[in-house]
Amino acid sequence: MQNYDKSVLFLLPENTSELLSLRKKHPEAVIYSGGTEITLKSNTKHLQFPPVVLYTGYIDELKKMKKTERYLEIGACTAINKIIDKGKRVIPEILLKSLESVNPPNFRNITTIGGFICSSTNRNSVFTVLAILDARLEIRSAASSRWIGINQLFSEGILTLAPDEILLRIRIFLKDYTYNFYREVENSNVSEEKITFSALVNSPKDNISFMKFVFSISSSEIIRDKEIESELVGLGLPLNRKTMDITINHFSDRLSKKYKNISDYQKYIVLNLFRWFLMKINYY
Amino acid sequence: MILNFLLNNQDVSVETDPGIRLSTLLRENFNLLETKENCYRGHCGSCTVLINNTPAPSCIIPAFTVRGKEVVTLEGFINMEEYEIITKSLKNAGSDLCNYCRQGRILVIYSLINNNMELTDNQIFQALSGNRCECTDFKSLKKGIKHALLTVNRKKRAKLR
Repeated sequence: MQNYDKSVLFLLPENTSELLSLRKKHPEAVIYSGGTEITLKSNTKHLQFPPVVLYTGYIDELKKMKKTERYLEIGACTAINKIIDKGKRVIPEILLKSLESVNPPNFRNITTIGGFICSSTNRNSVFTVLAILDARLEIRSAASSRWIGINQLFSEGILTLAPDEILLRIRIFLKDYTYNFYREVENSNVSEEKITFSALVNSPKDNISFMKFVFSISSSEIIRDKEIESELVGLGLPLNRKTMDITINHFSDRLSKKYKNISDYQKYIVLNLFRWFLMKINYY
Repeated sequence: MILNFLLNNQDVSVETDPGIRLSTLLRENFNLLETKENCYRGHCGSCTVLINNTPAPSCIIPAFTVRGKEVVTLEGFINMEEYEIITKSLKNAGSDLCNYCRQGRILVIYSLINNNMELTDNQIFQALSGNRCECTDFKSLKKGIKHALLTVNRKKRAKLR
């Protein structure tokens, strides 16, 4: 038997009520779901853990997926690859694309969706797509239960959950969209710099009736411009060249005024992605 | 902590540090040396094992997470019929795996052909990209995997008849 650090307390609940009561008792505990964020911090022979670890992997009810006519519910401890495999025909295409972009691929077997979206370093890709799909999150504590929009999960980059609260389920509403787009652009010189673009469009009879697009830049900046969206809603497809140029120029001006933290390179990528998106809906 | 799990089809019970890496536990307590430890970051793929039939990098998985689960290493897989099919198909396709990546790749391939009746190039590429070894090229690996899949499917169909 190895000598080990007995100061770390591992809590291994087997059902939700046990989990919530342990969470109440140990609000300082770090939740260990897939664990990639915790274990990747130690690259020596021995793994380093915070003093109290609350492992959620033995709770089967948090690994379930449930589909109704209106929505799909995913347990927070469901592994990314399980969602891809089980939900291939059910989950929105845009979400499937973003889940398939989680790298490296072998991590998808252990990374869980709840852990992934609660990590402040992963606030692009899957998080952005869930935001655009208006996903709702079930947050529970031993005493209360509430549903929040995914946009309320973070405030200024910090998780808004109370110390005794925990994310249990993610609910995604199932609607049909004429087009859905997901693209990622990585800067190979700066490994942390990733720009993701997701968009949903409804255009029955070639008339744009609904449009939503979001850019996320390196997990820190999320760009959604409702004014540009409303400019495009109501227009017929294909858009003419003049309308496209006016919209892109207007978006460019608004980016410069509203988002002063983004670099020229990031702005260039965002505008190129936006142009690509307009071209795509024109000639899809 | 006393840890009970199914290792290579045998019930095992071991007293261990719950936070030890699974790869270390397998190597040091069970002498299963096909599980390599290299990067400690789950990136190289040489520590891959099957946990409940799913490939996972054992170097970033702490021991306490496998309680009651089934863990398979190459040593446990070597006597299975599929092992022979996979290694033979890979060899015929011209890919000779080195000792560094053998366990990881073979277990990933087993999981792929076990869970799919058909495979696209992208599925194969995605599954294999968890292993960084460059001892063999993707083209011959792909050829070998597709051949192994055909053989396994044929055997499955024959059993059904």
